[in-house]
Amino acid sequence: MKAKRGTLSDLSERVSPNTFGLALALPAVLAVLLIVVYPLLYNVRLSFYDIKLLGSAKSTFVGLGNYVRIFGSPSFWTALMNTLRFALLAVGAQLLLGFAMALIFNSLSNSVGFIRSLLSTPVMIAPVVIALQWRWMYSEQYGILNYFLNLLGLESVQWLSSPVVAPYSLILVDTWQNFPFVMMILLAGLQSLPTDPYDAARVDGASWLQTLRYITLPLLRPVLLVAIIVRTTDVFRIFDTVYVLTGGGPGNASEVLGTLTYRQTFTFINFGTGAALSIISLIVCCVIGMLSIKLFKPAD
Amino acid sequence: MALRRRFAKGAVILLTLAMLVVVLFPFYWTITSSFKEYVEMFSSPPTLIPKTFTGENYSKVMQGTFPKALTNSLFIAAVSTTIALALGVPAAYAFSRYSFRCSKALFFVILAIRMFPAVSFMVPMYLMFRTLGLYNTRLALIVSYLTFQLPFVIWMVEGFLESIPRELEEAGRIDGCSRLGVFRRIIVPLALPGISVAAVFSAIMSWNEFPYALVLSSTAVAKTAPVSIAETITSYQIAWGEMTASGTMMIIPVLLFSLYVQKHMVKALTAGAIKG
Repeated sequence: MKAKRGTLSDLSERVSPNTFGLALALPAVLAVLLIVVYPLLYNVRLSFYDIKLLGSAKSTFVGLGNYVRIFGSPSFWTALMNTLRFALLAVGAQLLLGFAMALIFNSLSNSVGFIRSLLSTPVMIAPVVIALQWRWMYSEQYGILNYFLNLLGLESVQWLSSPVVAPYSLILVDTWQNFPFVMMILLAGLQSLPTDPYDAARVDGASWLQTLRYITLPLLRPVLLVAIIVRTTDVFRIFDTVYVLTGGGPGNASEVLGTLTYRQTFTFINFGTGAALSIISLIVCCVIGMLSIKLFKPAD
Repeated sequence: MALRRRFAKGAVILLTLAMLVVVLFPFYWTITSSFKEYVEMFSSPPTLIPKTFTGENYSKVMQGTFPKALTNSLFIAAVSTTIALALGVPAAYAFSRYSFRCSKALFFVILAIRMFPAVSFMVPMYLMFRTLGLYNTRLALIVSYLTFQLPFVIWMVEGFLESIPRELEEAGRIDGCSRLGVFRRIIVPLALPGISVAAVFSAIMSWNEFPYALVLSSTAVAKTAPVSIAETITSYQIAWGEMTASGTMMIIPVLLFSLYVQKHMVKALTAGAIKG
């Protein structure tokens, strides 16, 4: 099995181990540099210009002008607040629901694998398709949701056309799609917990609530952290669902950072502003990601 | 006491069933709606089971640009996943077994990319591809998809490789196998299940992708299925029939594939921080 002289195999022997490792990783690293790092840097550069794409008008350097304008614009703050509210409510709901269902599911002596398969499907489906499904169900006149409400004697809801309700309709869709997934993460965590602390607690006569608070939650902290980080960063990047269901409307009642950036760039053809907005979005996402890790990291 | 137990168990089963209904109903509704005649879709009261099954929504959809969109999606998913694997699997092995200059930092950067919003790439990529004359091409989409597929493959395969004992490689080396040979003949065959799982997830991510496709394609030449479906909503009206039919066609392959990989779903979609 000794490598023949002059082949790649032979070459891999002649270089130092770490050089070989570097060589294996290099194509991927270069690709990442090219398609991730370069566009990002280009984007930063774009954000300092007022870009004119049409005709012979030239793009002008405006320094931080785009950023100043953005921070002074109410629609930016609306979008930012919407995104924050979305994240808080959606992630909170998914955690609560997911945790409750995980606890319930865990008590089933034999959690059926088939049910788990079924529950894990929504998260794999394209958000676009999910959003369209819900658009159909949210229809004021023909949607099944209002039909059920009317059956119960309640008034039809303007799910997508009311500026008050629309943001919450979106949060509902995201929660629906993702709480089974959160449930699965927490269930996996619950099932890997050691039994000793629980035996000791039972001996000591601890109530169910006390067990939950002093044993389950602290032990589950790493798992909760993962769920929080993953879902929070995903919600801050949300685009498909909002774009398809409301487009950010009515007005900008349900606008989020992603759709605001898209609108500025591709509807109003304002590339400099769009670039600046996307850089701001990037920073917000990274900050939120870091914050989540800092806040929820279990004390080592 | 036994009665209380049984009551609790009954409640659990009931709640589980309720959850299943909530989770599965929208899919059921979409799929059955896709077989309804146009008039029946708007009937009041809505019908849970279609009175008449018709394939007219599907034939309408297949006559438009959707088949081309499906082919585009398939092609792009296949090519971008292959490239992501070709580049990512060796890199994953390198990060797992070797530590070269800045390897830790590089790995961290690659993982951090997951936190970046698509919009931060959308804007520059649109301009870049336009300048390169690659706007509205499948190649542009393939390249842009690599921004999330490559980091994902690297990270997921690295996780799988970590669970392969290093003794096997050492045994191979003792037998005179070269480093490259160890990778090719020992690691890759052993990691094939993990690689195939990573491939399926990666392909599904590509299949589902929307923002890049929305921005970088303008005609049927490069439009993907998600964009095509989203177009059933125009400012004038919503083509519900076409929407449910094309939506169903987009869902079914993913449902089937995800049943295959569902065991690994938790690992794939979290940061791999949960054991097992």
